This record gives sequence, structure tokens and C-alpha cells, in this order.
Amino acid sequence: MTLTITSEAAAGIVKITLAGHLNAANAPEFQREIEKAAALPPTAVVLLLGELEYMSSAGLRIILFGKQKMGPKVKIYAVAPLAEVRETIRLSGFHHALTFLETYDASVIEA
Amino acid sequence: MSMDERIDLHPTHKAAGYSIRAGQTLPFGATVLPGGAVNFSIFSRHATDGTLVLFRRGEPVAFAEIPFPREFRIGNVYAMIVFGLDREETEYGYRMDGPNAPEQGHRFNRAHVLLDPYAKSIGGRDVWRKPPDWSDPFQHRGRLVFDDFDWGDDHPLELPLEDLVIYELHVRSFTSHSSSGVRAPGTFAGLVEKIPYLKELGVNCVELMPVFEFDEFENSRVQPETGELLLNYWGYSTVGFFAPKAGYARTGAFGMEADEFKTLVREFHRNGIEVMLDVVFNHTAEGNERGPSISFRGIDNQTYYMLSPGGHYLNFSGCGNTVNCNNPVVRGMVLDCLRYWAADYHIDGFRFDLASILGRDPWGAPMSNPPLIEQLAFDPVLARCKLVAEAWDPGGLYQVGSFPAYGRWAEWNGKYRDAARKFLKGDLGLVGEMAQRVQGSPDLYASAGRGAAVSVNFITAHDGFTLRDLFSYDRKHNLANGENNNDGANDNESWNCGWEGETDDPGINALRRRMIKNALALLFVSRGTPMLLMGDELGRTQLGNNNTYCHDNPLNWVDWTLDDSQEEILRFARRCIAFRRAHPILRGRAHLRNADYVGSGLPDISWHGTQAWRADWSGVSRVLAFMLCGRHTDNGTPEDNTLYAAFNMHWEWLGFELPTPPAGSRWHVFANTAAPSPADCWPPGSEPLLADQRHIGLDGRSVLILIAKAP
Repeated sequence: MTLTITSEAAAGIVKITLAGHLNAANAPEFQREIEKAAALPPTAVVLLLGELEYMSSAGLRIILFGKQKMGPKVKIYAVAPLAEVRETIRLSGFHHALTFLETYDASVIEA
Repeated sequence: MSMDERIDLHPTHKAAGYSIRAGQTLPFGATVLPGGAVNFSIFSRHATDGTLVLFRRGEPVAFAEIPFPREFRIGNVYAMIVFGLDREETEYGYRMDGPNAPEQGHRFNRAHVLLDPYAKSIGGRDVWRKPPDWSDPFQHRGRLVFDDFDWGDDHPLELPLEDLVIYELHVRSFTSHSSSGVRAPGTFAGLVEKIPYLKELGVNCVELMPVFEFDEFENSRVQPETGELLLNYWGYSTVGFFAPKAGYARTGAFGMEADEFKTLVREFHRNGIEVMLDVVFNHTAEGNERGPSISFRGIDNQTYYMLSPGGHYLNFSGCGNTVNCNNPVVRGMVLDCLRYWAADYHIDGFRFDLASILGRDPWGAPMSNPPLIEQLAFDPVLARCKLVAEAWDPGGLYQVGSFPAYGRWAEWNGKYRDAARKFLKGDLGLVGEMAQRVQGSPDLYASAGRGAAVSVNFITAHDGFTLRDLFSYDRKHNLANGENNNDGANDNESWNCGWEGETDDPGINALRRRMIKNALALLFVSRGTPMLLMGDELGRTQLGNNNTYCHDNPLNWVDWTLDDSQEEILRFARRCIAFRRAHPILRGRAHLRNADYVGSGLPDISWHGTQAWRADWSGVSRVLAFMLCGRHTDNGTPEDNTLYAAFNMHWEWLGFELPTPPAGSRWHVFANTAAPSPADCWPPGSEPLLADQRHIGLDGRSVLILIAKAP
């Protein structure tokens, strides 16, 4: 299963859409996008996860890497993760690194 | 290549389709290097050769086998760096060549793929109770871990030992019952959801029964009468010392058990609760000559195990083999292991199962100055970890009070347990010994300069009856274990209160509740470090089974559906713990001197009986009362209230004359186990004034605890 990544940045907000399977083999692609985002630097990073079916440990660790690289002032949002992905993030304790949103909520993200 | 690239991370060889180079001998184990290559390092003194065996996750056939070239071995260490591995999907083991000569202690067999003793993640049993594929030649599979957990500002709590209230807990049992209400029953994540309960109970240290990787299917069998599958449920049989039990993690199947367990530790710490691990270094899951070759046996049998001159396993553990803990290499492994848990998992302390074995030499003889125990005591990384010994072993070494402590080690005080049980059920001749036990057992520890807190006081633990069963059964009822009731201890010092087992008799049930409360009251007013067994505060029963090591069922699981009587016990336990934590005079680090050394006019502890200031130390007494002067707190804690506790373990009502409380204060009632609930105990600060300040009657088998404060 492949991973599709698209990314856009506007007004300090980086939106990264992930679709398919994120695993150790393709995690470096995700890491490159996170590194690009960190270089801006943004005010927020929004991960649009509605079409991400699987995220392995390596994928979760990229989020953690991004959080540590960008610092506590840059919020990372996980929008519409599937239940399985959301649960894996929660159980492994990575939920402290990001904020879950059911939909893209501009009033929260762009505030 | 640019100048800032590391030349030592470039391959020099090709083998089995992989780029490799000579590895770094230390640290042992598999280490992910900067850039993503993996360093594999393994010790074997007696092997003649070794091969790294690589698998894709869960597959029975290796995708690569890479023999260690001669130039990759330094001394007795085989080390290799492999490039281009998928760190999530790779599992690894070793084949070791060498003599197969059991009479000389060697059991090398190239046919076996062996688990790395230093594996930090282990697959093969990563989903609890999932039936193994027994045809798989590699049952326990080393995996790679990432060391990037976000601890934030977490660190071990370093609470003073004397302030701890330890709660012994089995991870799976605590939340497996459907009544637990957690989203991930039986797992580390499930336990996180129960932290608020533990916080409200008031405990500030959990002692987790084994969480190192073990095989729940070891010696599994079907109980012929019930058809139930009996397992190695408790896990006192280690497969890998460096890996958390993956089957205890909801995310274990994804290889994220380390993250889940670290999250658990972090959450405990956020709630002011320390985490102590019950560690089993005395034996391994490989058993005796008939056991499987999982790891140590095939890597270097003669180094890792105590052997007879004929190469047979010495069995001081009662489990088939004995780890050769005082071999310097094995000692190093134990030290590396504990340092790893302390540093990488922020573990606060360790309780050592059958710790006396750690003091035996390679031939089994007890040592006067055992190097492993000394080394652990002085290790800089472990310097602030609690070290608690189960100071005995099945080989007959019993060291309660004499375990080599080096100023660091505490002990499970088995003598406290035995004396308390006998005293509580009204045995004669116990008053003198109980006076020692409630003071933190100075008779055992003071002469060696050891304080009161080193005495870990307990009345029940995982081995033996629960507290409810202690007062519901005269005898063990272990038939469900399928061993003809031959397993488990026979010297339980229990009393069934008039009927063997469960009953509807309200009088017997009321007496049992009171006995439980008496035990809780005794435990929490005793100096030393109290330990409560999971569920004893809920009146949990194991139906008289005193050795439930094999049951993954409600016999072990905490049932969170509480009836009124269980609520009553829970409330009593909470208040006893709150009382202890509110009163530093109960938690002194030093031993009491039985003298007034602050000029308060009262000794730090004074002894009483049915008459004030006249304790009955005779062999026919069943009464003990003592008063703790609140001005004798130690360790920098502020002045406390003066407290009085009276234990009438006779079956008859007795009148007690009370000592006069300090000037300006009057006696108030914290607890009276004979009083109907909820007047049996009071929250700290709300204790009611005692009507008659001079005399009080205590019902048979009851405990009274008073606090002196201004009216």
C-alpha cells in the first residue's frame, strides 16, 4: 500500500494531507515534508488524516520529531483521523504531542 | 563523502546481500545508529562461531543469515553493523556454534535460533493468549526499538521510602474484568485509566508483578475438570530481561509496547505515584535439561546458569534452573538491565524475587559479601532507586533481617506477615513480637544500623491468600490449579471465622469484615513501609486458592462491581491510608527509642494494656496498646498529633484505661473497627471527640485508634 502526501502552506499554516499507509518504508517522505514545514517556521501544522488507513510507529515518531523540532509554540493538529489511527496514537502516548479535531476548524486553527 | 560524514558508519563488507562492517562491541544488544544502520553485539565465551539471523516480522524462514567474520569478533564479543534494514519489520536472532557437551556445561546447537539476551523488544507473544505457531523455530523474536519517547519533564519521583504506601498489582488482572470499564482491558493503557482510582485510594507506589517479556504459554495445559486453559499467568519466568511484556500492551502487535509502557510510567508520575517493578533474575523460562533453548542456554550455558560438576542445572529457584548471578558477565547483564529500566523507563524501584539467590556463588553457596548485591547498592545510576529484596529462596536461605544491605536494601518483612497473621487471629505469645513489628522491627534491623523504613510490612501478597480469604479459609483450596492441591503454601496462619469459605451467615461475614479492618488498621499504623495487595481494599476473594499463578480468569481479575460490604472495606482502607499520610509520626525513618528525647514529657512510644502504662507482655495476653508522642517526629517532618492504638485480639469485650493525652488536647476517635459503618473510621480532621476520656470498652477482636487534638 502506498502513501500519498500533499502539502500546502499559507498564512503561516502548513497543511499536510496523508492518504494510504504510512510505515517505516515511506516515513522519510513524511519527514521531509515536516522538515520543510519546520523551516518556515509555521504557526501551526495541520495533518489531514481522513484518508490515512494505517500509521506505524515510524510515522508517529515523525510527528514527535516535528513537535520537538518546531517547539511547543507550534501546534500540530490531527484532523479526522480514522478510529484505528487515533487509538494507536492515544494508547502509545503520542496524543500529548498533538490536538485532535474532527474537521478542519478554522476558528481553532487560524485563531 | 563530505568531511562531516562519519567514516565508521560506512560498510566494508558484503554478505547475504547486505552491506556490513565490524561492529561496536558495547553496548550489547541491537542498537540503531545515527543514519539508521544497526549495531548487533553479543557475548559468548564458549562459542566457536556465531551467525546473525534476520527475519521479516512473523515469518518462519529467515531472509538473511550473516556469519560473523573472524575480524568481527573481539575477545568474546561478536559485533556487526548491518546497513539497510527495515527497522520496523526486522526481527533478529543468533545461531551459535560450539560444543554440545552437557556434562561440561555446554549446550550449543546450531539448529536453534536464539533470542538476544539484550533484546529490548520481543515478538512472538505480542498479542496476549494468541495461540503460538509451535512449528515456528524462532518463538521469541528480537526486535529493534526507537529511543525517542517524549518524556517531557518527567523524572523518577524519589519519594522517601518511609512515605510510600505500596500497592502490589498485576497489570492484566487489574483491568481484565468486564466491570473495569476501561477501553483497553488487561493492558498498560488500561491501567492508565485506573490511575484516578489508585490516587483516590491514596497509594503512592505501585509494585507491578512481572512485566518483563515472558511466555504465557510456558507449561500451559488444560485443566481436566473445567477444560480451562491454565497459563503461566503471573509471569514469574523471564524470557527477556530488557523487554516489556508485549502482550500487556494494546499496541504490542505494532511493536509499540515500549511507548505504551513509558506512557504508563509517565502518567503514574504525573499523579504522584512511583512505579516499582517486581524483577525475576533468579531463573529463566528455559527450565531444566528438558526445557527449551530460547536464549541463554544456547548462547553460553556455562556462563549464564549455575551447574553441577556434571553439567546439571542447580535448582535453587524451584523452577528448574538458577541464573548464575555472581558470574561477572551475568552480573554485568543484571546491572545493565536495571540501569536501562531506571534510565530509559524512569522506573523508581525494584523488588527482587527470591533475592537471596543473588547472594549465592556460582556453586550455590551463600556469600558473605555478594558482589552483585553490593554493586547494585552502590551503582550511580540506581543510586536513588528503591531496592527491595524478597530475602529468601526455595533452597532454604532465609535472610529476613540479615540480607546484605550495604545501607541501601529494604526487605519484604516476612516476619511481619507471619506475626501479624497469628496476632490478628488471637494466637498466644505474640504480643512481644508484635511490639517489635509495629515499630518497624528494630529487633531485625536496628543493630545493623538499618532504619524502620527498610521493613516492607505486608500481611498479604500475591503468594498466598488474599486478605478476605485469610479470614475465610483455614486451608488452601487449590484444586483448580490441576495439581491435586499440592501446590501453594500450607502454613497460611489463616482463620475461617467459623465456616470454611463463602457463607450467607451475617454474623460470620460481619466478623470477617472486622478482621479485614483490623488487619488494615494494624498495617497502616505500623512503622515501616506498608504494602497492600491489589484488591484487598475491595475484599477480593480467590475462593481459597492461595497460588493462582495460572489463572487468566475472574479468580485473579479484580471485579469492580462492589456490594455494600466491599464499599465499606474500601472506605475504611482509604481512610486508613489517608490517616497514615496525614501523620508523620507513623512514618518515621529512624527507630523509636522508647524514651523521651525532646522533653515532651512522653516517650516517643509508650506501651499500654487494659490498664494505662501497664502493658501485658505475658504469654497469655492478646492485647497490645501503644501511644505515639507526636513531638517525636523525625526526618525533618513537622510536629504531629499524639496517637493511641489499642488492639483487643481476644474474642471477649475488654475495658481499656486510656493514658492521659498531652495537655490541651483530648482524645478523638479515628477508627473503631467494632463500630458500625460508616462510624468505623473518619476522614482526617473530622474525628469525633471521645465521650469518656478515661475509659473505653473494646469489643472482642477489634481495634481502636485515637488522635489527641484540641477539642
